[in-house]
Amino acid sequence: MASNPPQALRVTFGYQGSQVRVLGSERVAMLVPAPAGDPPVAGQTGYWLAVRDATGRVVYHQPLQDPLQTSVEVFAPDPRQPITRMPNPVREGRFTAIVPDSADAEVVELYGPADLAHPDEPSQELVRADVARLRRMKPP
Amino acid sequence: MSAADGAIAGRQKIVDHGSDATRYNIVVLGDGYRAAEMAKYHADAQAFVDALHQAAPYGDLWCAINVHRIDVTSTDSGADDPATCGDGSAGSGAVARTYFDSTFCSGNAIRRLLTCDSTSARNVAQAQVPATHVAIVIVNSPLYGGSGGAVATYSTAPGAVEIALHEMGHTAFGLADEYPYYAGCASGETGHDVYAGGEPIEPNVTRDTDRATLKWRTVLSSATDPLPTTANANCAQCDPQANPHPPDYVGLYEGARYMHCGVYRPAYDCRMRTLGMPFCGACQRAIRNALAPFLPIAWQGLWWKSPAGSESGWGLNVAHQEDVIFATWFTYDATGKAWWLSMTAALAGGGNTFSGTLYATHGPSFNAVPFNPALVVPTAVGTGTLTFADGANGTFAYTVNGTSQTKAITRQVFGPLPTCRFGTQQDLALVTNYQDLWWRSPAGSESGWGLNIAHQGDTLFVTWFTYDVDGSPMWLSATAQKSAVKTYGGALYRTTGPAFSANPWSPAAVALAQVGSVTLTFADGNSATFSYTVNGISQAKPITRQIFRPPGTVCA
Repeated sequence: MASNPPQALRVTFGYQGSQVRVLGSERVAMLVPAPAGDPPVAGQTGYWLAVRDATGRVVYHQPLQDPLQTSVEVFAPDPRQPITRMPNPVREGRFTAIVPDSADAEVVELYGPADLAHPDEPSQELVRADVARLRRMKPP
Repeated sequence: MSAADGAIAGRQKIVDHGSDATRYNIVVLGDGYRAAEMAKYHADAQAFVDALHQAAPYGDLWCAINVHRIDVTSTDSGADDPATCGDGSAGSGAVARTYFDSTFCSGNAIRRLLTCDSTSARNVAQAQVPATHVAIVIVNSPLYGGSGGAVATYSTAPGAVEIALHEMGHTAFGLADEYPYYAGCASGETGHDVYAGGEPIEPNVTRDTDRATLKWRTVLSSATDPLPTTANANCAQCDPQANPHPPDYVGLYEGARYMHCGVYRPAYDCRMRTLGMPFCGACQRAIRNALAPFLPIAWQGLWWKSPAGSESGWGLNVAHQEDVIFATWFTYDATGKAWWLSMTAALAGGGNTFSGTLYATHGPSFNAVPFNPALVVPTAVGTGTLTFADGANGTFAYTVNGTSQTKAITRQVFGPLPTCRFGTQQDLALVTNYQDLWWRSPAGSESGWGLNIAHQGDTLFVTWFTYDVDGSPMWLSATAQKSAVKTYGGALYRTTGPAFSANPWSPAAVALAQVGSVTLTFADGNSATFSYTVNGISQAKPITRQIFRPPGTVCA
């Protein structure tokens, strides 16, 4: 007896400057990666996704690396030379994230710096979406 | 310059480890390849696969990964290369009509900044492979360049594939950059002296210098070396000091995530700091953690006739490492004497079927000192095929000495069943579930006998396959309960029962006789002492896991 395929939600976010919103979502039969690091705690910096259950408990989390693309990497022709960064002249775009579509998932939250000019400030909730709403949405 | 400038010509799964629903799916797309250049694109995609496989830890996790190649043709070859660029460089001025509109000097900023229409690339990847986790675009240009973001993009210039590996670290696993500057150490940059923020979320950078709480404490190279490993004496600049340790040392080096001081990285160098370097230990740990669910579940463990208990008295121990199973079938010969057969079974034709030759083996008596492995003589007696329907059910078909039978099998459950996966742990000493095939330590020193351990909760079911005093195959079994930390013990039984070929096979005819006792004392997850008394003979032997496909399978 084969087990049911795992289900995930692929959520598409759009951003303009520091403003982020959910553009769409779709259910996909796929596994999500396990958390690459420790669960987030208050006061941390950077970007991450958190999925919470009805009690507010984090049931899934995943770090994201600068999803708003505030800067871009510059690679020297000689790979042994240092990688450097420069501000990204393009300040709008889209990114997707995959979260588990589990029975206990209630809300998906994206955390990051509220002010892109101060990335070392504790991250705040940038956008949240009810999982029930995400399940009804379509991809953009 | 858009999707009108080409077409989707097809797709091919170039690394196939099973259903897309349960594997990590990397989708490779090409841009700037004309239809006549598809052979080159295929070679470039394969070069990416080869580079990925060689970049530890991906090779160890290979069974978790599928790679899909989407064949995308473009009207023109190459990418846009504007004549002028914000960095003052001069380009050819080429304008290439390509499907994903790749261009150097993206945003009129830096020549080597090569980007594509990432939304279009992502949409194509997801349309072709719905379970896409990450998409990579290879741009058919000999000019060096690349970029990250939602889609990693790189050119076919020598070494540029490293850009994809670095960017995948960001996109797929949320790894931070480990370089300790923003615009460069020699740039004269300001505002990057001392990090004053909270703990970064990324798994490979930290401000924590406490060994007890450090996020990569489990992969530190030393339990006693002082932390931090290096400190930057002048936070107005990058730390110029050389690495005081070997290149693969994992410690706590000051300077990371664009800051000269106040935030630390795990290694002096790493692929997340310098292209072409290996991933550091903390990055490898993060990648292993993230990909662990995608590794195939191993069928390792103890199996018996289904429905459970219907033929209690015989069983099958399965050691499953990567695509090979070593099975030990403990049953009875035509006289009712305990008899074991073994089989190295290879994955047959994909899917969940493993086939091999069954051997009956004779060897030195269990108490022989020394035990000479050269005297072990296996004799082929037939063939066996294991087919697994899912994680808990399968069939065992065999032909032994002319008798062919097929039996439904299921896992033997006597406690909480662990889940076993191949390749999740490099250091077997750290494993706390002992379920595996064990043999004399050092490995190979007494090849010919072994110990199968099924570990559920605080109980071990141990099957020892060895040889009687006349050299004939003999197996003894024990249910060993935890008696102290890392110590298990129980009575050792010799069993007689109906011949393997009996039909029906009656468990009521199985008889157990206690012949002694066994104690297993584990020093760690990969070394133990096997102490036993059999018919008044007491011996103790060091044992270790039998690894025939590194790094082996672990259960948890």
